[in-house]
Amino acid sequence: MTLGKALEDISKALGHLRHQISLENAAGYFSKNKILENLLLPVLSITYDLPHLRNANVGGSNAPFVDLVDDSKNVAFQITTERKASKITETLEGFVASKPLQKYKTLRFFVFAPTDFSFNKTSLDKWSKICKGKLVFNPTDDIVQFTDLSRDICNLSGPKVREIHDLLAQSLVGEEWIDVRALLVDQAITQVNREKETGKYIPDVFVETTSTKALSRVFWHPHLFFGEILDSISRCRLPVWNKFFAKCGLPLLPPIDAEKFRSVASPEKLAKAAQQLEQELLQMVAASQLFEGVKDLCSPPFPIPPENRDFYDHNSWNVRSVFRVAQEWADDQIQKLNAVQRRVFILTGKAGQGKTNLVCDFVERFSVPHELPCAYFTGLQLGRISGDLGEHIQRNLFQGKTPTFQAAAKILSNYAAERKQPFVFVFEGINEHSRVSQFAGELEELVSAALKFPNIRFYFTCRSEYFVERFGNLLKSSFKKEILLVEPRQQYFGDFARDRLLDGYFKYFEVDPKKVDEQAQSFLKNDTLLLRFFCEAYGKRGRPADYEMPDIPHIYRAQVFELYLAKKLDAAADNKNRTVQHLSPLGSKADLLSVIRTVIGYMVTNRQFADVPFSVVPEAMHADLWFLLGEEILLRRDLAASGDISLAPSAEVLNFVYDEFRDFLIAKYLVQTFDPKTPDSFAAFVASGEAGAVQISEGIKRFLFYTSRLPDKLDFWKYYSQQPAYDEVFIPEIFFVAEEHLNADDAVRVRAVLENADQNATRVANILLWRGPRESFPFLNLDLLIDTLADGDDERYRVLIRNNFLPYHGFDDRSHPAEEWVEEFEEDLVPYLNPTRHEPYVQLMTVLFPLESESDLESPVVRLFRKIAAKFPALAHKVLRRALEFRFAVHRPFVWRLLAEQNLDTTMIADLTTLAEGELESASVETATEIRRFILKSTASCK
Amino acid sequence: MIYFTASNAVLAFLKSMPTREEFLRRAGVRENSYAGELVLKLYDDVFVYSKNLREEYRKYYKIEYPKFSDFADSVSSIPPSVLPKIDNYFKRYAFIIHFVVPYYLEENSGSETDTAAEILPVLLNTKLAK
Repeated sequence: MTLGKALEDISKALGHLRHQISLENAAGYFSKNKILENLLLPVLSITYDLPHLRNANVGGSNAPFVDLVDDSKNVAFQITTERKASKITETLEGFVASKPLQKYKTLRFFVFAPTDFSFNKTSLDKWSKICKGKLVFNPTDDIVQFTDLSRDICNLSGPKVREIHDLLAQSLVGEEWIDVRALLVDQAITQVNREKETGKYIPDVFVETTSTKALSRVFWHPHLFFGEILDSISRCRLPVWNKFFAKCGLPLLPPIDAEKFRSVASPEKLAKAAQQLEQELLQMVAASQLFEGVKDLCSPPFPIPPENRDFYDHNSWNVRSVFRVAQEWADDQIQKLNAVQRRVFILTGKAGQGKTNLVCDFVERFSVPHELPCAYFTGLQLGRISGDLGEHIQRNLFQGKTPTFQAAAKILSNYAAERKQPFVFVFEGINEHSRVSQFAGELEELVSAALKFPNIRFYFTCRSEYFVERFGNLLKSSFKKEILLVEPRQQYFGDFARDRLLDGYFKYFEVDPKKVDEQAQSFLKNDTLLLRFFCEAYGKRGRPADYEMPDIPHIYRAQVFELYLAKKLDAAADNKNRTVQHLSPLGSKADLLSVIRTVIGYMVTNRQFADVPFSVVPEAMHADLWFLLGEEILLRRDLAASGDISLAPSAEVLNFVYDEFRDFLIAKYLVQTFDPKTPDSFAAFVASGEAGAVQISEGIKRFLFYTSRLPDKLDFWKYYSQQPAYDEVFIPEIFFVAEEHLNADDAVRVRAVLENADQNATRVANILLWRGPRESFPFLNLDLLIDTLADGDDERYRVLIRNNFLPYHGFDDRSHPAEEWVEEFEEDLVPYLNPTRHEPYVQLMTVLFPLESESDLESPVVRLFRKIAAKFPALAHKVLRRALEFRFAVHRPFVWRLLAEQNLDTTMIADLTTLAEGELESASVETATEIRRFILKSTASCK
Repeated sequence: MIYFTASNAVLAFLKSMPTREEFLRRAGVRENSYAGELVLKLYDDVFVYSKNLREEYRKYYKIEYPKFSDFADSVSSIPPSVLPKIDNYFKRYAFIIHFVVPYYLEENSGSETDTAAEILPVLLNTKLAK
């Protein structure tokens, strides 16, 4: 560029700025005046050779009387757009009266008014009087106006003119000016809206899991949420813990001083503060490790002063609990402090856990309102573009105004620095990119380049099962130490969050909660993917107005998946019918299904459950395939995992979005193609196959199991129920089969499991404990449990009953499962007790007598039984009599004690007396005492 | 006003925060006694180791959640009966304290009365919501 052109551009830019100011001032807006201070600073710095010129107003309110200062040359500037002598007068008066400003020997005015102005003699005299002896002020030189600035720039050297040219070009009056804020807000919101339209983001359904969202907040807005970390540390119960440790005679945990970091302001200092605080917490964690070896009722693993020994012995059970609480608390804080420091946040999680919802909700409700700069891209969209990733991003963001990604990153970093906030690039669903292995490399390169700019951060989400395999390179990259890898665990999803999630989904999909049984709802709460499928399968949303949702007493996974498939196919078929003119005679749905069958067929034949080559689908079916792809939830394009040499590097492949849904389809396919006369091909598929062969998943076995239980699949059931794969999943899947599809064979198998008296038996017993009697559950019921118990010894009793009622010892309290069972039973059943229908429950009570009992043979169940016996004596006598036929012995003293309390008829007394006399010799001391009591009581009552 | 939430926590709406001395006075116990120690322990649990949701909202969440009720609803299990009134309470009460019922106030199975429900209104000088 020639010098003349540069000067011309400068003149244009200054003229443009001057014009804008005159318009804004006329309208009463003065915002640009503020910007002027920053915009003009570098221009004045170069023009008047003031290299240390700085904004005197940085960090708070207006500094009175001056805007820019150079402390090394003792020069101060007042910038004004008012062309009034009174403005100069007021400033001079204030300046000379201000002690702190006296160090500046020169005060210059930059009057950036629409037109130049001249000053009269009266004003000159007044100014001279004000400054006399205090400040050397020469209005001709010290009042700089627009024309003066243009003239002075013209007199500069070529390099300086070009420097000013470039500055102005990139400023808000130049051709290269980019309104970063407006572009970013627009980009992110557009993306969120797109996700809403495709149904991937359902506002109001997203439920915060405290840990993930809290970490995200810290990562995106470290300045603000560092304060919250400090608050949390100040609320820490460390003094309470230390008081307890001191009483125990244990060493104290080191204190943490968080308050000293309250005034941290700059991003660099913030990162350092977070690091220091993390170190202090790590020291606390290290000190607390000492308590890990403490065990209840055991000698301490370290010396305890004699004066504390008694307290220690009584409270040692609590030391480990306090240690765990302290460590969990410290781990939470450390994780948040990591979010302050790290620059790449990777959120992984299984399908259906709500990653997209989290990101969209976060951008929409957190980032945008906070004006946090960010840009939002999805893996799926990035997969549709060709060419360089960085190039695409900078073009997308700045519409070609930046020459390279680096230039864009620099602008973003500077913009973020001005705002004291990081700039966050969001890449959601990186695993959904169509060329994953290539993308993984590009991503690494892009992040590496961008992190050179201090304020840039990245926020990725990825399905956990793909992350290590396909994006593991990031964990080995040059920026590996900057990564914060977060996988929210399902168990962290508390009851409260689950309830909200269920409510949110039900509302959005218009599911009537009254039609879904309470137990079914509680089942759905624990399986997010199933919940989503369920809502899509049964909800009123998107259905005709006359749709009536059926009552849902139980959740049957296979049934939900079947309905989900039907609904997805309907949607794809509708799309096809709307857009295609000539439909095949079989109908759109049949055509779409045959595409699915083709893909599944390939998977089964080749034992390859992912990355099916695109070429497997014949060209004639491509149109249908695109309709299925359009649904996005059903099928997707992906790239073969790196290292798969059977595919060309650029080959397109097909995968199912949800692995569980794929398993369902494979099972469906296998059962449909099963021929009972030639079961060999099926057997070969289900069997483990050759060494090194891909094993079929647990999911396929489960769905095969469900399908085998359908009434019209009897032939298949006869064959499959004899296979080892059937037994492998029988427990617990049998309890998810519709009640009407169960049979006597199931009861036999379940009983066999109970008789094994192992961990599995405990689980099954637990399920049966909460199922009703035979009347409601013909095969797998409470009676089955009681019958199996009746034949068993004390060991079977321990495994099936006692292990299901073990009290849990927590930090602050202990749970009482038997007491809780009694509470629930008393509330839900006792008021409506029917002696015939509910007999198994009362019989169960005789088995539960010993739980949480005291030495006087009192227990929560015994107390409740007395109440029932008072109301229904015949029922009580019957179940007590039967309880004496049970083989195990642990409950017997309780039964004899309660029998002694009853008013029995003479026949029963005679019968029991014979039994009592026979048992007396072999009975335990406790039982013998109660038998004697019974004999004495019954003898007395007969007299 | 005091509300018990489903997660064994308490939401207390207070116009002012008592001093430790005031708290002891309300309990009618002396500072250097066993009862005094217990009451001060409760004071710490309620006012030192707890969260003032109002303050937390004002400092960190006001922009993210335009209404206090949205914030409160997202962070804790607010009883449905209080939710419609909570924005109004936010204007009226300077302290919205959220704390877990300390284990020593938990209802014992054998006890006829609910200790926390009996003690907290007296010590916090407010009513128990019905």
